[in-house]
Amino acid sequence: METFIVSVIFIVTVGSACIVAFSNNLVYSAFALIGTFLGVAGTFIYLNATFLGLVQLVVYAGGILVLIIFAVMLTSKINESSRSNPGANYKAVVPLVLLLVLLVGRILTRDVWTKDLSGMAHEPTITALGNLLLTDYLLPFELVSVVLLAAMIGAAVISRRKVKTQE
Amino acid sequence: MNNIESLKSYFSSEIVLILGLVVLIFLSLRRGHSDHKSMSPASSVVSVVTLFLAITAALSVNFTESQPLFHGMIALDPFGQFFKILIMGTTLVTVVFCTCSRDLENTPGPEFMAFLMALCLGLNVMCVSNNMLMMYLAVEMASLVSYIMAGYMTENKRSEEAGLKYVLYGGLASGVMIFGMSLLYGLTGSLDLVSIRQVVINNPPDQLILFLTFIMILTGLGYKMAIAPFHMWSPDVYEGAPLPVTAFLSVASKAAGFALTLRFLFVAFVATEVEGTWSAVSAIDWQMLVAVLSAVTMTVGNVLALQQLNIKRFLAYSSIAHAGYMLMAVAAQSGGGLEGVVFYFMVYFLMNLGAFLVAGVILNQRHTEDMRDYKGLVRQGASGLFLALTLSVFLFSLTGIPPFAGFIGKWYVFKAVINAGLLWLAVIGALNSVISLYFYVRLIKFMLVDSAEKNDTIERVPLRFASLISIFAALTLVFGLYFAPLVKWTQASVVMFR
Repeated sequence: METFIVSVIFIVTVGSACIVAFSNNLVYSAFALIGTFLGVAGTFIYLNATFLGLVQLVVYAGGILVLIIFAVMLTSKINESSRSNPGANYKAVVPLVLLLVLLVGRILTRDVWTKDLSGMAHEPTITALGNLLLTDYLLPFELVSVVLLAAMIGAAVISRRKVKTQE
Repeated sequence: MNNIESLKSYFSSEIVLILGLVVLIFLSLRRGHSDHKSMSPASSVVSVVTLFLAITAALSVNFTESQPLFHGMIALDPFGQFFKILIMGTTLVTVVFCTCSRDLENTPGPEFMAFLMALCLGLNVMCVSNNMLMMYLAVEMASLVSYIMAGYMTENKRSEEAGLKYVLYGGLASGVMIFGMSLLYGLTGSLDLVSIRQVVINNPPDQLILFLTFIMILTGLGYKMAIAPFHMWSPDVYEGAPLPVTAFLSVASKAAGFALTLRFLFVAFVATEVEGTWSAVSAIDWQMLVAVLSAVTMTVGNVLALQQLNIKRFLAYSSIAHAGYMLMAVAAQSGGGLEGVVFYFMVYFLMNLGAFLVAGVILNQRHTEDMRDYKGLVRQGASGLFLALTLSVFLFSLTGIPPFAGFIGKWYVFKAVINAGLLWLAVIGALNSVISLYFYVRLIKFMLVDSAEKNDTIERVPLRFASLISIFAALTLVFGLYFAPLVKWTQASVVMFR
């Protein structure tokens, strides 16, 4: 049963990621992204990181994806965009990607990781996360807010059009 | 030390920066504040005051001993303090630079200053992070704001291109880095650099994976330092970004990248210290790796700088080459090498910012970035003479010719490398200095020997620029002859918490 669930999650995640990457239609790509996000959320929940899984759902599947779809749908002439370098480097990319997959596969399948998670109690992680965020990890938590503030104002400044004021 | 105690006395310069940032944001919301105004005086004044207070706060910290703050998130040590002051000093110069820069006309001023404060904060945190989470967060904070600032001239195609290229490279580099960090966490079970070292020394994890992890993290750090082969973004970004931003990135961003890398290498991956010389942990011999990276970086930087005729690209490649020289001192793995890096950064700050300031004046008046338009500068009025002579001082110093400060910097670096027994690296470094002589002197020849196609005089240089340029040029000369105080500060600054 477990293997079945894991393989379903895997197929959904990687399959839709492939569509995102290889589809020629941006709208398809945007919609396929939902599969990837759901798959990742599923992985988190399967690994007992319930809070992360929910955040993944709310923020990525619920927020960012909708934003992307809006952006794609509202952009005019989106399918008429011309590619300046159609498939230029496939010859170099394929072996490189294969190498990377082999390498990462080799890394992840080795039994060298320190944390043994088998004995961990299956309980929600939210309490522990909350406590850590307000004690040991308070500084990063607070700095993130400055990062987000700067990023938000930056996005506004970069994207706004100049309004012609009446002289 | 816990959060409240750390906040009380040791985090004050960062708090000042955050307060300045908030004030600047409110300034930008003022009623009647128009988009078309360039840098408004109020925002520059607020920034300058903020930075002054922040620098004073950083200087006033007393070190009885180095210690971790905020539950080990950041480290309080003279090493971090030095780089923080260097970065805030660069920010101060950049603020003045921004107040009259043609590139930043017609862009929202207070917001720009706010970004500058946020960037300064991010870089400050980078210099002191002692925990992989903080490292990543600081890198990300600095990068996000730099992307915005590189693409700040929204009406300019090249600036937009610079912003976008920066985002793509940066996104990839930080993705690789955080993947590496997650693997390192899996291997050692800790995010804290000090505890990582304990694990790596006492029960070394799988060597292959540790090595790959190390390379992955180094990719992200190398992108911040703009060293080869992770330098591809820098010429395009430096060329497209507004000139003050380019100047800032080439000094402050690089300095923070180096501070972070040094801390990562010398805290997490050194085993023992014998009389000021460290040895790398047995699992990873990073000395050879860094030495090769350094040789490649300076060669790439210098060889590619040979053909550049755009002053921004030229200085970009030259800054890559200088990163190579500094990396040479890192490879020495010794106290002398660390001193070399710190000393080099002090003189690099002077000569590189000085060169950028002169380029800024010429860009403002002539609207040109082409080095051929610098021909005959010395004969174009008193201001032309002033600019040509000071730029020559900076360029000679960048080449490393005595009696300028750049020579002393190089001398320290080479001394450390030779003491470490890396003779081949010293030879490559010397050859590279010879190559660099050609292109630096070519620009000097343009200015001093060649004659201009049309002879119009340079107008009076704004007082702010003139005084900054003369101070920098004077210091470049003075520190080339009398560098004892710098050496003293350098020796005090290499103490690192570990």
